[in-house]
Amino acid sequence: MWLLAGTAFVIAAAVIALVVGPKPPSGATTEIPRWGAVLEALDRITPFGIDTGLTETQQSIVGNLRLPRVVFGLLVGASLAASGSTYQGIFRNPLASPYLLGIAAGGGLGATIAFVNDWGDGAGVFDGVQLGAFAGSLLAVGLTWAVGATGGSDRSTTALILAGIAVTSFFTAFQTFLQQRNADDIRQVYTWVLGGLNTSGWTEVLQLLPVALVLLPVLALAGRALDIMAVGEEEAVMLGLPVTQVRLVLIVVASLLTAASVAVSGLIGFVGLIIPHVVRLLFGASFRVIAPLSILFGAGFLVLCDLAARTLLPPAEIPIGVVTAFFGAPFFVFILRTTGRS
Amino acid sequence: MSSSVQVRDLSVKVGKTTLLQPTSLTVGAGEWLSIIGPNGAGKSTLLRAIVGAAKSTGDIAIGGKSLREMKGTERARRVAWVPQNPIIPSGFLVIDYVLLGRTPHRPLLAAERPEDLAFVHQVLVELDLVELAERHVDSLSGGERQRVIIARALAQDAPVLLLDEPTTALDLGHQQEVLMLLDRLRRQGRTIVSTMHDLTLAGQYADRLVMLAEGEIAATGTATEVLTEANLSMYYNADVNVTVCDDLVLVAPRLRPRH
Repeated sequence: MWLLAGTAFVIAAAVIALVVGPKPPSGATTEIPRWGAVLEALDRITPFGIDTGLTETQQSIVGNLRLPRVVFGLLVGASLAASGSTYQGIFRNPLASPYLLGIAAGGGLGATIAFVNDWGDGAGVFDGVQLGAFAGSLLAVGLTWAVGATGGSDRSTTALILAGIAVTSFFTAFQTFLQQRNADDIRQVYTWVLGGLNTSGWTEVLQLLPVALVLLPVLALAGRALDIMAVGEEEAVMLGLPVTQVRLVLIVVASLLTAASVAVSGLIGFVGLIIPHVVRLLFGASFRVIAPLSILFGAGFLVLCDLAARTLLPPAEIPIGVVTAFFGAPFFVFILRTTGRS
Repeated sequence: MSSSVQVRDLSVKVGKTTLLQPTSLTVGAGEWLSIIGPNGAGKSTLLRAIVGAAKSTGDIAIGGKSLREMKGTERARRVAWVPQNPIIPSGFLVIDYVLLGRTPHRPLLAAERPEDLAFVHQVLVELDLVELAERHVDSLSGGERQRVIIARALAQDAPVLLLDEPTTALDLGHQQEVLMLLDRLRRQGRTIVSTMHDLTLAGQYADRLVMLAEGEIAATGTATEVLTEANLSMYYNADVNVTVCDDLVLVAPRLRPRH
C-alpha cells in the first residue's frame, strides 16, 4: 500500500517534470505536446521504438535536456534521502543527515581547492571539482570515523557526532580561508555550494547511475537492521545483531552515495534531513517502511523542486538548494502540525 | 527448554575501579534467583556481565556451554535480557517492537516469516497483549509497557531470562502482575535471574536470594536465611523489622524515634 503511494508519487513527479518545459527553445514557437514528451521519454528509456510525432528539435529537447535532468534529479534525491534515513536510524538522532559526519564540509573544501587551482569547472566527465568534492567528502567522513574512536575501538554515536562537528568546523575554516584568499573564485564556489541539477546531456546521470544502482538497494533493505538498532546499541547487540559491522557497512554505503551525489550535484540541503521525517510522520516509525519510501519520496521531491527551480523565474534558474528549503520547510511544518494533532 | 546458568570467578573492572569482585554462583534450570543489595552493590553489573553486556573476566556457561564461545545470535537464543530502562523507540507499534525479539532466529534481510509472526502472536496471547498489538508503544501504561518489554524478551524463545529491576517504577498491582507472570514463566521451565529492590517481594517469589554488597556476595540462600535483621543492618545500614509468617518474610523499616 505505502509502496504503491511512493511509486505513484515518483511517476507523477517525473511525468510532470517531463511535460513542463524549462524554457522555450530558441526559435521554436510551438509548445511540445504533453503526451509527445512522455512518449519520447518512454521511447528513450525502453527498447520499444515509439513513434512520438515530435519534431527533431522537440525530440532533442525532451531526450537530451529534460529526460536526463529528470533522471538525474531522481537519482540525487533518492540518494540523499536514503542516506539521510540511514544516518537517522544509525545515530538514533532526528537531526542526523548525510552532511552530519563532515561530508558537506569535506565536499565543499575539496571543490574549493579544485576551483582555486583551476582543476575544473564542475561539469564534464570526472572533472577536477567533482573529484575534489568526492575525495574531500570521503576524507572528512574517514577523519570523523578515526577521531570518533573513544577509548580504544568503541565508537559511540555521540562521540561520532561530536567528531563530525569538529571535522566540519575544521574543514569549513579551511574552506573559508581559501575563499577569502581567492576572492575571484568565490562566485563559482558559491554557485557550486548551492547545488544544482544542471546536466550536460547524460554525462552526470551515467556517472551517478552505477553507484546508485549498487548502493541504493542496500539502503532500501537496511530497514530491519535499523529497526533493531532503534532499541540502542547495547540491546541490539544482545538481540544478536552484529552492530559494529552493520553500522560500519551502512555508514560506508550511505557516505559513498552521498559523496557521489555531492560530487555531481553540489550541496543540495534539506532533502536528506526532511524527507525521512515526512515519511515517518505519514507512514509510521518503522524503518522497514521509512528506508524504501525515503528513496521514492526523495526522488520525487527533488524532481519537483528542480522543476520549480527552472520554471518559476525564466529564463533564470533558482538554485535548487533555495527551492528545497523554501518549499520543503513550510510543507514540513504543515505535516508536523497536522499529524501532531491527530 | 530449561538451562542452567553457571558463573565462575566473574569480575568486572572499569578502569581501576572494581565493580564486581570475582563472583561464583549457579542457577539451576528452572530456578528463580533474585539478586538484592544496596544501591551500588553491583547488582546490575553482575546481571550485565552474565549476559555479556559488560566486559568481564571469568567463566559464564549457559546450559553447560561457555557464553564467550557463542556467537551473538546463539547467545541471544539462549539468554534474553530485560534492562532496567530499555530504549523503546517512539512511534513503534507493540507488534513491531515484540517482533524485534525474533532477531536471533531470522535472517537479517528477509521479511518476517509466518513462523515468527505465529510465535509472536502466541507470546502476545500468553501475556494478554493481543488487543494492544496495533497500539503505539508510547501510549502504554507503566504495567503494559513492562509486559511488552517482557514479551520482546520472550519472543527470543530463550530458556534463560535476565531481568534488571523488572518491578521498579510500577505500582503495587502492576508489580504483582509482572511477578506473577515471571512466576508462571518459571513454572514453564524458564530459568530466571532478576535484580530486585523490594526485599519482601524478592523473597516472596524467588527460590533463592543472593545479597551483594560492595561488589561481593554477602549472603546467599533462601529468603529466611538472607533477609535477616543483622544482614540488613550490616549491608543496607537499615534499621528494619523482619517478620516471618508462613514462610513469608516481611521486611518493614522500623520507625526511628523523632528528635
